[in-house]
Amino acid sequence: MPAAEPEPSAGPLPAGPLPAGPASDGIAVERVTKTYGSGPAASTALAGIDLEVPAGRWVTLIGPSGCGKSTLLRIVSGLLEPDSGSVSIFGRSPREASAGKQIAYVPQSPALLPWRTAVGNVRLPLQVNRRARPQDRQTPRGHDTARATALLEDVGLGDSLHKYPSELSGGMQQRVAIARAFALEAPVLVMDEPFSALDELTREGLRHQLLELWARHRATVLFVTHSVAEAVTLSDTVVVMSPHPGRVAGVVPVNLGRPRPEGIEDTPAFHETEAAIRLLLRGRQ
Amino acid sequence: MSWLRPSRWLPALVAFALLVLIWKLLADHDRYLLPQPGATASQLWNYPGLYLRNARSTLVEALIGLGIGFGGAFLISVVMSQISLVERALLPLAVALNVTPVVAVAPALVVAFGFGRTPKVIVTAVIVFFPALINSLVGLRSADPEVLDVLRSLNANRSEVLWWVRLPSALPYLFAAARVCLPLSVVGAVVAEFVTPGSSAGLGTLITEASANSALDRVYAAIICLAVLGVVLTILITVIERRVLAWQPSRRRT
Repeated sequence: MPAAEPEPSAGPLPAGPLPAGPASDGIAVERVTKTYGSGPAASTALAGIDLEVPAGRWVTLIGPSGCGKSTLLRIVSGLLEPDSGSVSIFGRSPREASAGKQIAYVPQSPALLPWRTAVGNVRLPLQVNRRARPQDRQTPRGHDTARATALLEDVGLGDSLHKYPSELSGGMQQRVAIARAFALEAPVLVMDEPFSALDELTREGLRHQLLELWARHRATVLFVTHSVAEAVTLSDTVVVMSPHPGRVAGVVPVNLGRPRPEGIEDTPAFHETEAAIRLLLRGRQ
Repeated sequence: MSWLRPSRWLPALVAFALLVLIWKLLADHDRYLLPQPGATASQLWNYPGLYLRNARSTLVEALIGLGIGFGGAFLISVVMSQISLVERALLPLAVALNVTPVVAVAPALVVAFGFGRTPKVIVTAVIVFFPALINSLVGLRSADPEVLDVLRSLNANRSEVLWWVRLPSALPYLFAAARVCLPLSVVGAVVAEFVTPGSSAGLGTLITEASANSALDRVYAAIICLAVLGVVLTILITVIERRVLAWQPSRRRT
């Protein structure tokens, strides 16, 4: 009896339409290469990357500048084509997945529209490309606004719903960007160093807010960061990359259980995982 | 109401009084250099209808020319931003048009279109066209690349990107263009009136005729009208800009 079958229109969707079979679950990256330029000036950004993000899991890419993590992220998001190799997102190509609005992409900067209020920015992904998903076409506009409002309240911006980005601090802008990504309710969430421009205190607060939201929506996440602590706090698995050419230096599982309370950063298990990642990061320099 | 404070308006008032004083001294020194400020003021006071009628005529020409030139430039820039072939075809022509002194074409336009409003509107539209086109093109390209990435990741089509991102991004540039083009449109109208001496209305015509009669007080009265026209138009565009671009941080400070 298909008891777990969700009703199509009621409430927020679960973690997207998950096709059956382990082969098509989550994100699978196979032997992906990418070279920028040609001839003697060519630089290999990615030299044969294999990577797997099981459905509902959080995988973080970490590595020094030039290791190709942003390039890989753009390939997975369908913003860039690889030279060779393949990417599968729940059994589809990145282009197909983005055509179906299955990928929520969060760039480095908040990338908000300055002429739209916080609510307007969070609604944007629902307004764009409405043809792609039947649920977008059927929901009335008021529903978009209600969803955007609820998400902004979730990230603590209930007082700033109708403020313009220029009236918000950097951390608040980034929270709007995160709310925008979750508004899409896409099964895949791809984030490119979303906290890199923020100060350490703001970052720590945002990590836990992000985890709370994610616990509720359970998307499959591919995340990029420079910060080892951030990687450990957030992820199920940390993939360490090394530069010139970009390749995977090692994979560190994070065995910390969930949910992860604030203050988990001070536990011995946390420090051990951090140390393992640092070792891999240092090994290739 | 910060502009009610004397510290706000007093410096400008003092500067204005000084200007009138210097004008007066120069006029006393040589009456063919400048008319008496008083004589100029009484011109405006005694013949308000004359100046209003001519100012209206110039204003209408300027605004019609501005509308055609600005609107046309904007539409063409949108097409250029979407189809690079059109940009490669038209941009060199626009640059050539820009470096051509339009004043030189004005007499020919009179031959072609007569002494009516048409040649003046054309000159104005042509003068306004290039700054509007370039600003609009730059504005349409000014969209944040990361915002564009977000829209691409949602598979937004071209017209959605244009409507949701590129056009609003271009707005501040369009207003900057309008600030340049509004005074320029008055220049265009006046210059076109200069070369059509037979035409009956317009401040430019008034200036040519008064100069021919050495009636400097009338010349300067007309010039003051032009200045007021420019100031009013600029204030108008500033007010609209503040309204429309309320989301811009720099607009909200003062």
